[in-house]
Amino acid sequence: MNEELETVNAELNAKIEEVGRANANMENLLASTQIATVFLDAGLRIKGYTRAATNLFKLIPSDRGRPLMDVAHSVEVDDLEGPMREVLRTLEPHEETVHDGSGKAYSMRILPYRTEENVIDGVVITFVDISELKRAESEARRFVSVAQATEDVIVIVDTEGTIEFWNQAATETYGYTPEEAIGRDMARIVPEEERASFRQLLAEAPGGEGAAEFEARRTTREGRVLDVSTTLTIIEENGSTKLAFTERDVTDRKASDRHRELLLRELDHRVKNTLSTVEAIAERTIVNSGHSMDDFSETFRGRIRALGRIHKELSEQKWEGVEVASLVDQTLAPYDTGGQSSVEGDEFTVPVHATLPLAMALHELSTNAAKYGALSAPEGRVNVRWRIVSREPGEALVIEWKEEGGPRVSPPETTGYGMTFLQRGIEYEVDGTTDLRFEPDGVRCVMEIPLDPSGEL
Amino acid sequence: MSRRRLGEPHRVLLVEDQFFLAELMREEIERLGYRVVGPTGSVAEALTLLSGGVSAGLLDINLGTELVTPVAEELVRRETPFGFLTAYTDAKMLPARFSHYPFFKKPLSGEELAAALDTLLSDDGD
Repeated sequence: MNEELETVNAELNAKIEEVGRANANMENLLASTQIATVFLDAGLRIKGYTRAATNLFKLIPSDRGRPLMDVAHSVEVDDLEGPMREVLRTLEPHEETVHDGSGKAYSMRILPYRTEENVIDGVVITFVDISELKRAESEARRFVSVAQATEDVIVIVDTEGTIEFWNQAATETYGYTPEEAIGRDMARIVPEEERASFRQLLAEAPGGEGAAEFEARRTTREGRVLDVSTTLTIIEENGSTKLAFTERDVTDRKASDRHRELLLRELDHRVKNTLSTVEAIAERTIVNSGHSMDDFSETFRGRIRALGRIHKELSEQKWEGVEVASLVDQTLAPYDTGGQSSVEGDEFTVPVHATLPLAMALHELSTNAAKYGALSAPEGRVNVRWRIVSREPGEALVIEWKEEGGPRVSPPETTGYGMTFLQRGIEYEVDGTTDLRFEPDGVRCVMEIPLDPSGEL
Repeated sequence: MSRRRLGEPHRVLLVEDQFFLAELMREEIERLGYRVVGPTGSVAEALTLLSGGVSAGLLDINLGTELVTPVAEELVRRETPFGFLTAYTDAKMLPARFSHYPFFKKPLSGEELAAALDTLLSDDGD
């Protein structure tokens, strides 16, 4: 009997020791955990708490056995007791996000407290500080809304090229909705000829850092190819690499670059032509003016000035051509100081390539008229008319120059340089025709300039 | 390839879209004892003129509404020596395959023209 008692006693001691150890473990755990936890019995009286719980509840050791609702706390929640009673009744865990007075966010969980015998004997209430998580979440949300709202395309892919993020601008620019884009290969919007370099970019991304800027091309859903300017940012996160493409459609800018290049080319051609024209005019004027230096000087200056006026006009019209009326006026007016000319014709813009040849021809006609023709006598008249006529396959500008009332005209004995140009320049430079006649009543000249139906440069 | 008969002057194709300059160069080239084929400022006309055979070509690059490239290609095919007449920056409009051909800077003086034609025709078989 005694022996038996001793055995039971020994077992009891072992059990007490075991419980003591478990208790110690529990004490340590409760003391060290960062999770605010309060244990309550079925009457919602305090059975125990962790040290972290004292940040939310003004708990002191003597509070054990007091109803939790009697303890002051900083949890900002309308009703704390209701959910606890609900958990006791339904045995369903309750979870919600709450804040404390300082604005920290907690995930509050209320669980049924089970005894060893699986009997529900109260609740456990825990508070996990989720402020960091919340902050990161709202930061992420902020960035996402900025990324969505920006006019720049933002596409984020993994190293396989699989799209993970696709913003609103990407949808608008490339035509695919986020549903159609996310999870798919970005290579779909990369034109065939750039796929290899795109793959290489993806392959070289891991370990790379910083941002790179380059120009690329993209194919839209409708099959249009766009020029884009791209900034690639490599993002390393949790050991995986992402590539963020920030892109802007520069197709229009490229087109205007090309237009500017075209204009520069045209301008270059014109400048070159002007300089060589000046040189050629000088050379030819010297040859033909023979003996008199005054003669040379006057003719040469007249021609250069005519060129200058037309260039000024061209540049004012942004090298898009010059109105016929303006062209006639610019060349004829300096030699018609007495208002002896009349011009008549519809509004029409001479294409830029025909402007100079036509101006030079009109200049030569004007100087000739001033020296020997209708403008050399007060009663002389010059009529200039023009019209557009239909000529297979397109149209042509016909300009008619007619002098009358001046001195009687006879054909010149020698052909000066101006006359040479007048007779052959239009044909040579713009594939047109010139019909020049020295009729006794006055000079008549009909020039025809074909107009390219495709629209000239 | 020249189709020139012995004792006849070399035929030089001149492509230049600018009448003043073309006339000036034509006179210079003729004064140097060559015969000028052209001048013309049009690719189509140059190709027609070429079919009669020429010994050398002088080609303005930018013909305003077109580039002289097709004429250059035809001269390559015919193994006819030729050079480009360039002004300022228009040389860069040419395809790269022509970059090793001679370039003569416009406007060319009489001596420069003579030297240019000498260079072009020195490799000529006859």
